[in-house]
Amino acid sequence: MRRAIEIAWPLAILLVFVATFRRGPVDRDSPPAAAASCVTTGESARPRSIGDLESCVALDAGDVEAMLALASAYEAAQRADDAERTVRRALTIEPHDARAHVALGRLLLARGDRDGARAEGESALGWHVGSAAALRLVAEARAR
Amino acid sequence: MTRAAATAAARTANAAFLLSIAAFAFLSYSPFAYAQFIKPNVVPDLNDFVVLSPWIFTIALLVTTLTLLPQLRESAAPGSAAARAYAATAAAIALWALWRRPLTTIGDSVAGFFIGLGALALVVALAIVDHAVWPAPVLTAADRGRAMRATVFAAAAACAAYAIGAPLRLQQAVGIEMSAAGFGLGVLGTFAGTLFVFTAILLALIAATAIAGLAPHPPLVEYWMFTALLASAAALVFYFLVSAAIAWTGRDAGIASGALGLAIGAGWSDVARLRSHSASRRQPSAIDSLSLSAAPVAGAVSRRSAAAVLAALPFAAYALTAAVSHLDWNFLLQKLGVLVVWLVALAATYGATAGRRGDRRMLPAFVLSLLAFALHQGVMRLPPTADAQLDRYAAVDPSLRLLRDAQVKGSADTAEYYAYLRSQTLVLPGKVRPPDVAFVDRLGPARVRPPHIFLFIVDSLRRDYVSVYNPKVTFTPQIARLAADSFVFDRAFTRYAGTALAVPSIWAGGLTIHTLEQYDFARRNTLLKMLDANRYVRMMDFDHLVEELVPHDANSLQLDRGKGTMDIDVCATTTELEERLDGRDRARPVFFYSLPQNVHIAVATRVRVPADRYPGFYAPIAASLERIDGCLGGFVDYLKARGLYDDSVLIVTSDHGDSLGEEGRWGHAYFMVPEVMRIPLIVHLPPRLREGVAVDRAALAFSADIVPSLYALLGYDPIDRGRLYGRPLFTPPDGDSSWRWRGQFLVASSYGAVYGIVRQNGRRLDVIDAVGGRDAAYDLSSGLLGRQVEETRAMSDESRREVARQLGELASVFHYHADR
Repeated sequence: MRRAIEIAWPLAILLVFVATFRRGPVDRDSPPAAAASCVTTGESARPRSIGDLESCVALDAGDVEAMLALASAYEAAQRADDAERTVRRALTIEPHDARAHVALGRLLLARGDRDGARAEGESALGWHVGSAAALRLVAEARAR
Repeated sequence: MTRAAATAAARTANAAFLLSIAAFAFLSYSPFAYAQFIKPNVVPDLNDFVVLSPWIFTIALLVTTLTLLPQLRESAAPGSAAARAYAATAAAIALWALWRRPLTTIGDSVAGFFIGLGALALVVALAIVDHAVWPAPVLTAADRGRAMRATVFAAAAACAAYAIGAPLRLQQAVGIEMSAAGFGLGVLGTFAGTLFVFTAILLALIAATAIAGLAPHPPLVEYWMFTALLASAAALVFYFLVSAAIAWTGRDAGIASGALGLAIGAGWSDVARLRSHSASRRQPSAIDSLSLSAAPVAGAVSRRSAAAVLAALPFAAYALTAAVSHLDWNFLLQKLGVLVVWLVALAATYGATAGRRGDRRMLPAFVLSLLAFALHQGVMRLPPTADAQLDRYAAVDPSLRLLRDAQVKGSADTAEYYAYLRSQTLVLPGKVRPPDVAFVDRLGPARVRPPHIFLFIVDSLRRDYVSVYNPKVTFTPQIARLAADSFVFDRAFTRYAGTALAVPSIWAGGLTIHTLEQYDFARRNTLLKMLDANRYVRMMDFDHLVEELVPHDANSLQLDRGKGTMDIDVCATTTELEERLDGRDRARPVFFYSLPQNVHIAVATRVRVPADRYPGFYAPIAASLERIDGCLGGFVDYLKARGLYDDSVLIVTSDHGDSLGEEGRWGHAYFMVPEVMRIPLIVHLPPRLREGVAVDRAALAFSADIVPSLYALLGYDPIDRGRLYGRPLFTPPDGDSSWRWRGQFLVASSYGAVYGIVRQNGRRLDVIDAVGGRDAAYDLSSGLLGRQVEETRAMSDESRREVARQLGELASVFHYHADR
């Protein structure tokens, strides 16, 4: 009996040691569905309603794509101030995004700020060399 | 020195040599290790070893013969027959080795496997001979109390061995900030983990002694059980740590691991027996079974020599780590070093610890087990902030890194996901049917006059070591001069964190299935197709990778002929290129390709440079880069002088970056981190090709976009083949590059199941590491390279799904079905 205990106890504790050596799962149950829905998925279309896009921006404050889409949606809904604010916010994250510069330039041009629009167009061209959209913006800002 | 002691020293050297032979032979047999280390000659010292090995073997045999002289002379001497058989066999092998020089010719063949097994068999055979020659010492039972005390002291000694050197390593590491409290916590965590492991070993030894008690001669059975435990541990370490790291698994790896364990066990017991005899002359009393097991490290009875070994341990630990850290393979050598230090610490502390013979009490060991368990559980339950401190300390303490890597455990769904990643990794070429890839339906001559193309892919060049990306850089003025006249892509990435797949992806212009042998590559070699369609003369290096991708034919002119991959040097290459350009057929455009190795860590570190010459940079790399910067500048001047500059596309980029001490990392093995994934990409265009194109320099770019871009520049309209392929960086003015800003792109390690997603125009890198068992996320908009950030579960899950989606698409394209 004593011999059996002598053999069994170290083996039993060793078993406990082996079983508890590794750290428990640090990962994932099921993902929160709402958060996942705002992640950019490849090159597919994004949700288009202002509400959806505002949720996306609220969930991920660095989602420039959602911001540009939201600005576009604001502009379509005649909310130019909201659109400008949103584009400017996108530019704080991606200061070299020519699309954002052009979008901001278009908003500025629409409210008559030709110099501002031209400056945005030139900023866009600095990084997106030869961009037709930026060239058009600069040309229109100069022409008006 | 007694004859036994001299023989023990000879046997140790002999076993070390034969184990090295076996290691080299097994590395050669592993297709992965052969392709990555041996074929490109990453470690030139290995060549010397290979050349000298038959002579070293002969010298080792002569020494062995000297130690066996009494047995060889006297047929009546114990072990005489075994000694003669060994000497005759080994002599025949030595003659064969001198004649055939097998290591120089084994290549990646099955001969490597059998040579490895043969070398290990010699270690076992010599151990058998010595056991026949030298009588067994008188053994007593192991002293449990002494073993228990040794366990605690050994844990402290092993922990201290690395902790003492940690402040020095902390100074050399990049990007680690640690408070004194964090350092203390790290040491405590290391001690807790080490004590836990050592206590587990103690429990195994106690169980072995108890089981041995059932046998007729318990001390002898104890001793052989301890030896068997050592052999088993060595075999498991080789299989799960070493063999897995070089992607060598399955039956052959199992056999090799078993043989290696057997050889280590046999060699250890051989030296143990010899050292017990060298001790018995001074102190002929009996020794206990654990003392005999510990004898190879500290002798059988001398506490003084054991103490000396312990005193030297911190220096040995530091030297071992320093010697291998820069050329390590995912910390493998450092981890093996830790295991050696642990073994030495255990053996030496047992030798240095006094004890009472026959102490077989159970209670102290039981209490120690509970304490070790409680301490370990306490460390495991530290809050996340304290746990992060342990991670930081692990970067400078290889023993804690080993413990923490071994402790990683995922959930069942993670295990299943990792198994899926592994099934898509290092795929056997016979299991895929590569697609025929074309960027143009019917490829004919270009619409525009083809420019000359010069493609410099500087192996391992980091983005932040180039001044146009980092204003602190002072040593790349010529590249800056070129960049001023070129397009500099701000967010350039490689698709693969290692040359083996990065280079094929550049030639193919897209992702490739994860395999090291690019089977039937000609069907998807889109660059070669374009060059041939336009009658380019290919003046290029044929490194060991491109050798498999591009044919030597009438259109190719090999540069650096006779040089190995690791010897390719920008300066020598451009000098030869200039000569070739002067004598070229002027009716044909020239394509140049080179993969210079100047800043590869295995090459750059061969040059001694004062550490303070380039403040803030790793001096050997900065010095090498300064040299090649001058040669690149000279080549640009040459092109200008010959009137070729304005008719040339000149591209300077790298296959991937490199870790240079960030959080203790060096090189680019399995880990996927910003400094490895981000690359420089500078493209000079002739003025005639600049007109009428738009370039979004701030948008995400990949090295796999280079070839589709060349198609576009030559006037083709390359087919958009989707996100698995590259797309032109140069577009028509109204072209859409917004997909670069919003897409999610698969990236991968070249060597293991480590994948990532680059998203948000390269501001974000999410990594799923099935090798290290950890996911990580990086914000790349922060600083020069980025920083690790907390990852939300939603983002991590989305990354996992995206990786699986894109791997599935890739498998479908390559008609690959994993066996799972």
